[in-house]
Amino acid sequence: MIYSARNLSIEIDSTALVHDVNFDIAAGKILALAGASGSGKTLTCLSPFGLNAGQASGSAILLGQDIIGLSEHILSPIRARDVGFIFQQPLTALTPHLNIAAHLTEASMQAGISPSHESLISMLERVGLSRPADKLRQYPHQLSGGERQRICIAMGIAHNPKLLVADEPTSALDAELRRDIMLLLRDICREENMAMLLVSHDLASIESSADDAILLQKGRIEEVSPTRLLVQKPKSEYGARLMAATPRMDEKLSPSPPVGDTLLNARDICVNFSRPFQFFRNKSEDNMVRAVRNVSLTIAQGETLAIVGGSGSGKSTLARAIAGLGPMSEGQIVWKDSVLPAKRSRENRALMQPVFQDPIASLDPKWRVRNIILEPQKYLLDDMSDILSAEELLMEVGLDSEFLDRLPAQLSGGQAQRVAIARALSVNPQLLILDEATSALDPLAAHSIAQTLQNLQEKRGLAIMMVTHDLALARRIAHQIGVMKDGQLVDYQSKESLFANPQHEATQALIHNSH
Amino acid sequence: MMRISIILVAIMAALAVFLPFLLPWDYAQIDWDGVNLDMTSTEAWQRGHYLGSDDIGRDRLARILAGTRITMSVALAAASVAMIIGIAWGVIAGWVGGRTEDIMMRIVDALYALPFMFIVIVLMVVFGRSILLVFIGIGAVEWLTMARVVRGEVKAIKSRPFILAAKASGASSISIILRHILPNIMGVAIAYLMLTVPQVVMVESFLSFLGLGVQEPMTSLGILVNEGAAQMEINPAALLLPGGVLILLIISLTIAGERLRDRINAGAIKNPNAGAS
Repeated sequence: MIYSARNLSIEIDSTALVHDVNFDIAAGKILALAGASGSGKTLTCLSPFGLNAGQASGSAILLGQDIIGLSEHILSPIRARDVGFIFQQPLTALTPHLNIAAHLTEASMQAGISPSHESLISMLERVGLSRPADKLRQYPHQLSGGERQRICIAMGIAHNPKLLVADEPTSALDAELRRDIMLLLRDICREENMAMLLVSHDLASIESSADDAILLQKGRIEEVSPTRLLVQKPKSEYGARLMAATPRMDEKLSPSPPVGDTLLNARDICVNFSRPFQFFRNKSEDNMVRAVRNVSLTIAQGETLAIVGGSGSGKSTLARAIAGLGPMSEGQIVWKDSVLPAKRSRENRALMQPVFQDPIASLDPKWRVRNIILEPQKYLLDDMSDILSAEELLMEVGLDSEFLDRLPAQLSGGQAQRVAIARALSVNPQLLILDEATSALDPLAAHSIAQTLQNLQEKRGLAIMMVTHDLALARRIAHQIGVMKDGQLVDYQSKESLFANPQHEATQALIHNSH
Repeated sequence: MMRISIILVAIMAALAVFLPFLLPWDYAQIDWDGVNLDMTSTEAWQRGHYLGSDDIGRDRLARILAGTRITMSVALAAASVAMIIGIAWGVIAGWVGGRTEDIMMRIVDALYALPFMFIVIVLMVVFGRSILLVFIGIGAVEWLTMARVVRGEVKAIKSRPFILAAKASGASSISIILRHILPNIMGVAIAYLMLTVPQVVMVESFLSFLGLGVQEPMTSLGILVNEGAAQMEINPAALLLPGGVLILLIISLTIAGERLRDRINAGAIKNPNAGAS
C-alpha cells in the first residue's frame, strides 16, 4: 500500500467535520472520494498533508510512515518528495509572469533534480501537449484552460511522486476536456505505477477513471465500492439517491409532456461585441467579436428548450439577448404576434423572467427574502388583485414561510436558487429563462430544483428556456435541444431525434463526451 | 484595538464638549493676574488653571478642549463633505460607465496632480480666514480618494447577477442605485470616511500651524501646537499637551478606520458557500 488512512478524523476550530475514515490505495490504483459539497472530501484529502486549516487525528500512513502529527519541517520534505498535488483552478494555479519552462523546472527542483531541456520536453509530451518546445517558452495566459490543466498535471508529476492527490482536477473545465483529462490521469497512474487520490463531486465523471470510490456524506463514509458498482448499483440508500439525481446519458428517454401554442419566436439573432481597445488596429479585419450569429428558435407554451454548448459558445449571451438583459445587434424577437422592442416595457418584462447560475450572488446580500421575492411585482405589475403573496410563492418552490425574514447569507445554495425562482415567478411570467440555473448546486439540490421546475411547468404551462453545459440534464428534462458552437446554433431538433440522429459533428462530440 | 480606539475618540469628544462647562475659565477669557503660570505651580491650581495658563493669561486646559472641539468638528464636517461628493461622483462614474466614466475619472486624476495645499492656501489668502472655507477647502481635496474607491466598488457590484435580476424586475437605474448599490457600498464608504477623518485632522492642523486656520480667539490643535512650538524651550508642556492630544486623536481614528476597513474586506471575501468541501 502506498497510502492508507486509519480512523482519520478531521476538525476545524474543534468542530468535527470528518469522522473515522478508512481507506487504502495501492500503487497504480485510483481511489475517488465522492460526495456533495460540504461532505468533507477536500478536507479528507488535504488535511493530513497540512495543506488546509483542518486538524487531523487518527493515522495516515504514507509509505509506512504515519504523517499525522508531524511538525511542518519534517512533513514538508516528505510532501515535496513523495506526493504530487493537482488543484481545481488551472487558471490561478500558475504564476502569470513565469513561462512554462520555469514552472516545470521549479516543480522538478522539489525533488532536487535540475531538468535538462530534453527532459522538460518529455514532461510535456507525457501529458499529451503538442509542440512542446514552443509551449516551454509560452506564458500561462497564452494557453487554453485544458492546456493549463495539463501543465499543472506535468508539474504535479515532475518529481515522480509515489502518490498523486488531485482535488477536483476537471470541474473548472468544459465537458469535452473533462473526459480527456480524466483519461490522461488514469493512463499516467497506470504507466508510472503511481497511486492517486481523486476528489470529485461529479460521480458520472469518475466512473471511467477511478478503480474504487468512497462516497462521503457529512464527513462519514456511506459506501465503499468499486466505482462501476457504485455508479450502476449503489449499495447504500444515499448512493442510490445520489445516482438517481445525477442525469445520465444511458437512462431511458422519458416522453415529453405535450406543448401548447408558440409563444416566442426569435429570428436571426446576432450579438456583436467590439474588441477591447487595441493600439494597432487591424483595419482589414472587422473589430467585432461575433458572439451570437444568426440564431433562430421558437418556444411554445409548456415547452422546455435546452441550449447546450461549451464555454464561450455564446449560449448565455443568446439567453440574455432574448431576456432583454444584454445587447442584441440584429434580429427580431416576436412574442405571439408582436415584435418586442429593444428597450423592453414593463409588460414585456413581466412576460419572461431570468434565473441565474450563482444563486447566492443573484440575491442582494442586504435584502430579506420577502423583499427579494416581491421586487418584480412592485415594478412590473399594476393590477395587484390576483397575485400571489410571498408565502404562496415560497410554497410553490418548496420552501416554508420561516424563510421570509432570512438574509441570502443564511440560505444554502439550493434554497437561494429556490428564492430566485420564486422571485421570477412573482409576476406570473409565461417564460422562464434559466442560465445554468442548477450547475452551481450539488446533484441532490440540482435534481430537486429540476423537479420543482417540471412541476411548475405542468401546473402553470410555463415555457422554459434553459442554458446548460450538461447534455445529460437537457436529455432528461427538455423537449427541444439546440447545440451551440462558436455563436451558431449548429443543431436544433427535438431531443428524440437529436439523440437518434445527431446532425452536426459538435453534437456528436458532445454526446460522445457526456456520461 | 478597534474598540479601545473608538472608546478613546468618544472620551475625547465627550471631554471636549462637556468639560468646559465645569471649568472656571472660558477658552477666550483672559486672567490678567495669572499670566504664564506653570501647571505644577500652586498658584495655577489656586486660580483654577489646572494645566497652567498661556502668555496672555488664557487657561490652557480650556484652550486645548476648545481646540479639540474645533479640530474634530472641522474634520467631521470636511470628511462628510468629501464623502457626499465622493460617493455621488463615484457612483455616477461607475454606474454610467463608458466615456462619461473616463472623463469623470480623468478629472479626478487631474485634480490629484494639483498641489492642493497650495490651492487651499491661495483660497485662504484671497477670501480671508474662515472656518467654513477651511472645511470646504479640505473636503474638496479629500473626496478624490473616496470617488475612486466608490467607483471601483460600484463597478464590481454592477456586474453581480443581483443587479441583472433587479433590471429584469423592471427597476429603474435610480432605484437600482438607491436600493441595491448604495446599501452595498455603504460599509466600505464609512470605513474610508473613518480613514479620511484623521487625514483631515492633519491637514487642518497643518493649515493652522501655518497660521491659515481658524481665527483668534478661536483655536484648534494646530494653532496650539504652533504657539507651543514657539516656547517649547522654556515651557515644553505648551507643546507636548496639545501635541499629545493631536497624536492620540489621529492614531485612534486611523486604527479604528483601518480595522473597520479590514473587517469589511474580510466580510466581502468570505463566501457563505465556501464551507468545508
